[in-house]
Formats: sequence, C-alpha cells, structure tokens
Amino acid sequence: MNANRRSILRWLTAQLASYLEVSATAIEPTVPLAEMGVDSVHAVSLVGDVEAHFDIDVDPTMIFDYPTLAHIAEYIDDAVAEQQEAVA
Amino acid sequence: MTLVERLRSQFETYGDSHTFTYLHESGRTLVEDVAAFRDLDRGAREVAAWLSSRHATSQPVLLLFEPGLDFWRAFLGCLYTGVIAIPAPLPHDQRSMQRVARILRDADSSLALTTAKLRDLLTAGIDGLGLDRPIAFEAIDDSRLADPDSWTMPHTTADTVAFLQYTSGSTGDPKGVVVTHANMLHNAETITQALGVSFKSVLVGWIPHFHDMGLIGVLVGLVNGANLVGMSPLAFLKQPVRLLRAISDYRGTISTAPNFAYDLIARRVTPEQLTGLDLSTWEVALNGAEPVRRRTIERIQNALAPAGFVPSAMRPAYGMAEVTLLATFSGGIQRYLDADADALEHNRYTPATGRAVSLVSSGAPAPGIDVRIVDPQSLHELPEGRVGEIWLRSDSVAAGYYRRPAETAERFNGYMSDGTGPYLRTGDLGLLHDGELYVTGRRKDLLIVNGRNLYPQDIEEFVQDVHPAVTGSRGVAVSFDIDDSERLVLIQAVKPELLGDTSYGELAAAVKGAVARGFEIPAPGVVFVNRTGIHLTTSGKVQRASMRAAFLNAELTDVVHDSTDTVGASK
Repeated sequence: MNANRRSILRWLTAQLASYLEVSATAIEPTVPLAEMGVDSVHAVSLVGDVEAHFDIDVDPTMIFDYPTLAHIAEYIDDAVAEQQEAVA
Repeated sequence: MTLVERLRSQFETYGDSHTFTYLHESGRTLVEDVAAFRDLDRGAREVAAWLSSRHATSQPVLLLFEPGLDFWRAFLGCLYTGVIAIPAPLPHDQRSMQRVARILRDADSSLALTTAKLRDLLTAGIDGLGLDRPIAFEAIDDSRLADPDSWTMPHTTADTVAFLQYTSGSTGDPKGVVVTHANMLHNAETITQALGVSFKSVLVGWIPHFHDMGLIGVLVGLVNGANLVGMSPLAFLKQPVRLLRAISDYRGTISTAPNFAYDLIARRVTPEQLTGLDLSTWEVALNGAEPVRRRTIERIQNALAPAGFVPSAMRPAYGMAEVTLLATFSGGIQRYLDADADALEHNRYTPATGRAVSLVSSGAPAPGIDVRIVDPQSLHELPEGRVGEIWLRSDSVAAGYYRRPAETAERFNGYMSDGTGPYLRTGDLGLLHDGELYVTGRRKDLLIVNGRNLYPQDIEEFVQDVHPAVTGSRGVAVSFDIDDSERLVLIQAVKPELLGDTSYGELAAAVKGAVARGFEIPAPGVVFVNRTGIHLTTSGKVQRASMRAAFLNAELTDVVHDSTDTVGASK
C-alpha cells in the first residue's frame, strides 16, 4: 500500500472510530464494516464525510461495493487521482 | 371547515408570501427548489382535476416519489380529490419491491403516481413480480395533466379516508392505518396547540414523507399557513450540520426527529461548523418515534449551546400512526425519574435506593388526548406510579387497519373492566407520574432501530435464504438495550450435515453481513444451536421471550457456536 492510501486509511479509521465512539486501535481495516457494528446511518455518515473531505462525489452504496476500510481507501485514492487527471 | 377547505384558505391567504422550500443535493451543496403556496395549490388542483376524471375515487392511490415537492403536489392532489393516498418508500431492490407489491395487494390498489424519471424503472420492477392484477404507473410531471381551474371541491365527510399509513405490521404482512380527514384535522389541532404552531412558524425537516412524523409534520405546517423548509434524509445524514444551517438561514422555529438524529448531530457537528450559526429561533426540537434517551438530551443541549440553542426547546413526545401522530408532549421543563430497578420489574415505580433505571418523561397528554394506564390482564385502570399498558382515547385515534376487522377490533376496541371505552391499546408499557407519561417498554417483539419499526419474523425469515445449513431451521431474533442502543441477537438452529466446507465462523459472518445489508442495521450477534436448542410452544411456534431470557441468563442449551462478542462492542 502506498503512502497516499495509508494516510487515507488513517483518516477513515479516525472517522469511523468517532462514529462508533471507540479508540482508533479498535478498528480493523480488513474486517467488513458490517461486522464491526456499522449501520446504514454510519455508512451514509462516512459517505458524507468522504465527499466533503476529498471533494469527490461518492455513491451512497460505496460501503456495499467496498466492504472494508482498506477497500474504501483504494477507491478514494483512485477517485482522487482520476479527478486530478480530469482537471489537468 | 373541512381539511381541504382549511388548506385552501391558507394557500389563498399566504399564496405569494409563504413558501415550501426544498433543498436538493447538487454535488456537495444544496440548491433551493421553492414553491409559493399558490403554486403548490395549483399543482394539487391539476393532479386532482386529472385524478377525478379518470379514477374511481373509492380506490387508494399509491405514491412513489423521491423526497421533494412533487410528492406534495401528488399527495395534496389526492386530498383535493377525496381519494385515499398511500405514501410509500421508494423501492430500491427486490425486497423493497416485494413490500410495495404487498401494500398494493393489501390496499387493493391498481394505480401508482410517480415522476417521469422513475416510471419505467418502477414498471419494470413490478412487472418482474408477476402480480395477478396490473398496476398503472402514471407520471405527474411529464405533461400538463388537466386544467387546474376545472377542479371542483370534492364532497368529503368526517369519515372520508385521507391516507393509509403503512408503518404497522411486518414486511410480509403490512397493515395500513386508516387516517380520516377528521382524524387529521383533530391531531393537527392537538399538535398546533401543544407546539404553538402558527402562520409565523417556520418548520424545518428531513424525515421521509412516508414516515408519520414527516408526513403529518408538513401537513400541520400547511394547515397553519407556516413556511416550510425540507431536505432529503440522505442530505441530512451525510452532513447533519445542514439541518442546523437551514434552521439558522431560514429562522426555523420547529424541527422534529427521532432520538438517534439528535445523537448524530451531537456526535458529528464540530464546534467549527457551529461558528456563525444562530439557533436561538429554534423553539421546538421535538424528539419522538423511538425511545428518548436522557444522555442524548443532555448532549444536544451542551453541544448546541454555543449557537444559542435554548435548552428547553428539546421536547420529548410520544405517539404513533394509530393516533395519527402525537399523544403526549413535554412542556419545556424536562423531568426524569430515577426508578428503583427491582420495583420497576414488578411494575411499580419507587425512587431508586439500589439499582436505578433512568426514565425520561414524554410529557403530559396533549390537548384532546385521554391517556390511561391499564392492567393488560385484569383491564382495571391503574393509579399513578403503576406500570401498565398505555391506552389512548381521542378523535385523533385512527379508524383502524384498512380492511382488517379482526386486527382493528383487537387494537382499537379496548374496554376497561368497568365498561369505559373504546380505547386504542397501544401495546406499549408505561406509567403516569405527576400527570406525565414515562414509557417503560414496548409492544412485545417489536424492534426499533434508528426510528424504524422492525419485526423479528421478517429477520428470521430472511436468514433462511443465507445458507442451506439454516434453510428450514428455526431461529429467533431478539433485542437488548445495551448502553443506550438497541442490539439484535439472532439465535438460529443449524443442520451441521449441510455446512459443507463452510465453518461456523464463516456462516456467522455471512448471516451478519446479510442481515446488516438487508435491513440496514448493525450486524446482529449470532448464536448457532442444534435443533433442540430452540424453545417451541406446544403448537410449534418459536418462543422469543423464553429464548431471550435464556440468552440473558446464559442458559441457552445445545450451543454449537457463539459470535455475540461484537454485540455492544461499539461502546
């Protein structure tokens, strides 16, 4: 995993920890979110925060198509790169 | 004055001055869609003139819309025609399409209104279900339907049905609460008096229009000539600060939501986001539709104080679709009881000496609502301080469940042992103390997650399709209150011989994932047992209460796998 993705993952982990009110160390990036007690309200929260933070459009079904934080980090990294190419 | 006359007189008085503003997501910002009351009325007359020319008014009309003003044109159009409207959630997959089909069948309806954008998708979706009766989907926005000026006032009586509220009953067996024009007028008056709604009010909301709180909330605003501001649930959940911004921008005075939404605001809105917002106009933050938590009330009061939020604005309430919407409402001085846990288990309130349970007052009965606490077995009325079933009597109490005389008699025809009645039997448990209602429990088996009612039998049935090893085996879904939130545990019988290469751990993960996705709830805890581990009645029905008690007391038998460690792990 490259540095970009690691930093995205750190940010995602901190967000999710704040929704679930646990410490960031309790969040496993490779465990499916649904198994960590993430419900649809948390999922939409994450979508909203990702949109605002990375300035990209995210489909609300992201959490189902990319079931773990590691997957989501890859998705965001690609989406941001794509957007930068489009702008350039 | 009839409901339609009341609406029309407000639309006339405030035709140009007052508006319904809808805030739609566009990229990452919200853009306004504004309808002056005159436009709203004109749109409703257009729909009504068209509906009355083509549709038998005795048949209910299903409304399938995205959040926004088109829904309101269609809904008001139904009221203006005197036909029964059925607001329903927009289906997004096979399961929710099945629910729509069951509602159509239950209501014996063959017409659905929607928009041009959705019509083909919905038609294709419903065609795939092979219904025995054809459904016509009509778009209200792709051409002019009729001349609004050809509309004439329908003949309505107090008993004319306004709409069916399908919040009751499981997915497999939906029940439509019948709300008449008289019920709507009565509860609107109740809410108007309790909350102090007037033409000067500004209602800001995001609750879906198919939810009683979202639907009635807007209607109460309209019959009072109040300004309205709405946004979609998705827009709010993505960025809860948007609600606060809208209240600040439009000088909002009233906003309602279930408890979880206030919790979300307290957790997700940052002090930086609050900077520059003015929430001092917010007079009523109604909190209802699910258990109200003391911790949430205190958190929101603290979190929003820097923006001028008045602590007494937070108002817990109690109600349900069966009483149109509102039954009790907190008067602005929030009361709590620290009840003795042992006494409460014996259905009696005494101040806590040892183990305590914190009870939140849902306020006093709202104007025009008679609230009684009744022993559900003896049917004697109970005095203050005793826990019993909450019974309601009022002209706000709905006319029953649509085309279901047996269920209607059971719920809507409660008579006390001395013959007084009829009362609505809410099925909820509670007590009165100093004239205020404290809800202590709820109807047997019902689960409430994020303001939504879920039925355990739906989850139990759904699990059957996850893996052959559980297909045809019995299971129970039960819930527990852990650290202020509702957690679900599924205790499921397994046939080990059909597991194949799947381990119990993998099966548990599959069940958790499927339930979380299918019902949009946190993954449940899962316990697998052998067939003999499921408690059945002599007639072969699963005994949820007995299974729940066994789980709580660690007395489950025949356990082959337990993955309930994540239950409550989020705290």
